[in-house]
Amino acid sequence: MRSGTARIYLCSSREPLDRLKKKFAIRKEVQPPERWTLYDSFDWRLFHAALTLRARRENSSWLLQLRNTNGLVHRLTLPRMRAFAREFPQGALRRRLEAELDVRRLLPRLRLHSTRERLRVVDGRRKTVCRLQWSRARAARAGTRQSRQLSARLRVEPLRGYGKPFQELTRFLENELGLQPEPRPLLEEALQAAGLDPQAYSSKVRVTLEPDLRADEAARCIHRQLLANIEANLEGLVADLDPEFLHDFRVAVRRTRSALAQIKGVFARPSLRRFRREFSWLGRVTGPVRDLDVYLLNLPGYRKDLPPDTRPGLAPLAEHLQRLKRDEHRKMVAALGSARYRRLIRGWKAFLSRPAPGRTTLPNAARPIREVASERIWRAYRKVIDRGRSIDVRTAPEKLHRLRIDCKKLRYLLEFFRSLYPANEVDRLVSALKKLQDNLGDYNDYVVQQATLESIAAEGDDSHRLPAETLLSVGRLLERLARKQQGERNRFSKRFAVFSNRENSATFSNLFESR
Amino acid sequence: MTVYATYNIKGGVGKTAAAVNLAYLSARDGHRTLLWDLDPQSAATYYFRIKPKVKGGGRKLVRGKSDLARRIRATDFEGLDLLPADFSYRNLDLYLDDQKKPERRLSRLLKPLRKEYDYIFLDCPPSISLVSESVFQAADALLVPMIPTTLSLRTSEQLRSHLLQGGPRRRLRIYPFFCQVDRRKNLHKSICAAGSEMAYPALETVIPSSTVVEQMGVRRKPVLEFAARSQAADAFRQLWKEVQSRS
Repeated sequence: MRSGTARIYLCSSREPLDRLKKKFAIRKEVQPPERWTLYDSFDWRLFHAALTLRARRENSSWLLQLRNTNGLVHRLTLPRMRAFAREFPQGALRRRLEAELDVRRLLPRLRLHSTRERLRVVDGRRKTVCRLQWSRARAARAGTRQSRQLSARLRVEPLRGYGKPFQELTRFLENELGLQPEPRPLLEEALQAAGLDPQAYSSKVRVTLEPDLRADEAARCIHRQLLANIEANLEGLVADLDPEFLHDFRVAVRRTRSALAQIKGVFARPSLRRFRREFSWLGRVTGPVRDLDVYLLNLPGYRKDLPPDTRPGLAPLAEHLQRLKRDEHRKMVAALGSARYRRLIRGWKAFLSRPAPGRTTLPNAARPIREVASERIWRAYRKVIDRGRSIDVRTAPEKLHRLRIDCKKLRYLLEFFRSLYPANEVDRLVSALKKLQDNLGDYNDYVVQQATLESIAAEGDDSHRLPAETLLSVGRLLERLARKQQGERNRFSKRFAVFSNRENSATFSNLFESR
Repeated sequence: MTVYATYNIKGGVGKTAAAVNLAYLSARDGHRTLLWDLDPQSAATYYFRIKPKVKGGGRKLVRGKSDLARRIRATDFEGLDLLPADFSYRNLDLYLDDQKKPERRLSRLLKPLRKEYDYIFLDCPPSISLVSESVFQAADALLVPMIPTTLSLRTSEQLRSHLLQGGPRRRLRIYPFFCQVDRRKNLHKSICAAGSEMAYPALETVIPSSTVVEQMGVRRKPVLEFAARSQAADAFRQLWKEVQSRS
């Protein structure tokens, strides 16, 4: 269906259209106004994949369109809008959405209300040879009432096999009527008008530091960004929109704790002690819900692992976990609504906006960040290497757990200070480290999952005791998990050898070791 | 990509009406659709108000000398393109005969369009010739419109023996269906009733004899565009559903 690309002009009045009518044979089509709602995840996953999902009510059903930069990719009519990719009917659209959104919820982000006039240029046979559309639109952030007028646009669409009339028409529009092409996509203008910025949020650490910035200033920079992420996710996790809000929240908290502990000698001891204690509390109160989220996310995979006849036994377990999660979520929301939480955030904000003291007795506060960063990363790296080397097949699981924590610390440091070093080299180290972390993480997950499953199966008061079939299924599950755990354990030495190979250790030494 | 060809040895039975309306329905369902008007009488091209002219004519096209994709024209309906007819198509047989493996020619020409279209409809000229041979090779299914008369039943039989002649060939589905049916005529009724016992069983859908189908030539639009609520329009919708459910 190739037909060349449409051209878009700014056209604020009807006057050019009237002049067009004098020169070309034109038919007008009345087009009813359209109200579209643009859907995307909180972190704009579709937008970042150059996709837009828009939906509008038509009679009593929903009309959905998934578009990329070339136009329509999939469309679908549904009796009601869906919140998660997995809730869509089987098909190409669902596969695409699942690939992009994973477990994230679709949220209404932007409303577009447009009135359109469609014009057709026809030839002597009254055959359409070119299409025009003059549209005026208003955009609003979903859930708000104030909408903003967008620039009126005239879109000229070529038809396949009719290149000449298209050229004639666009030449006339540009040369005779002086219309200006509008290169900016409507979506971009609409997002801006609605005050939405898809680039604004990222779960990644994105700080750019100058190498000779004071270390305490640099640490504050990093912390400010982490705090922004903590706050950005609060609303979504309280409403339990999808599990990623809590996950990102917890990652930001963990990074904060890690930065507080790892960037040593930059903050005064009393403040440091207070905030470390408080953020540790924050990690603790959000932990149980996350654990249950992980279970619920893993359940479909568990089901597949089990022989078909034992699968139905898992249903009561799912219900049980849901119930536990509701309770824990309520407790968590109470903690996050408490005075303690408010005090923590207020105090932390004040602390981070305080200017660095002119004179300081803290050993690292006034040193250039690059020096401090290199020292910290080098130490963390040595620790990983030393501990990793001491692990063999007989080593106790706790030691692997500790190595996992060491790796995490190193990873965070590399990410915090990425901007101070050649990006491609740091990225290569991070991806090498990531492979080792995946191994250790999976191993640990299997250990923890077994323990938790065992305790869930063992507890259960009289009112909530799990049925015998469920316990049987859980038993089968435990066997599988133990086998998988062993598999990861067997892979460890190879993974570690790859991470600690000569090339990586040379890069670590070059970048971070002081001479 | 699925290729449907509307075909009958006899002329004037409703091949073009079926091709135009089914292609229109396919596009409206959101499928990228192409209709190739192979008939030098260019009726389908006329219905879409497109000039019945192909640059370089049928000879260059068959030889693969002109880029098929560049001869395609958009119709007035979104998602529906047309490859126009040309008067030189009356000699398509001769041009094909000049080629090696002439009966494979059409499907080779269509190959580059596979990615571009979900459905391709071939509107064929009446006759049994190299053109129809080539169509049988290129198509996944033949849609065979038939007026319910004794003669047309004979044609069905002829088609069958012709198709069987070449020995075993790749799976080509044959879907005859009755059109221009007048329910008041007893003969029409009894022949339609026996449709399932024909050499190739007929589809259940029956296209009624209707003035709106004839009006297509005046309106120069698919029936579904100007008489969407007519009986004929309903019949075409049902036919499209039935054809899709069979494939």
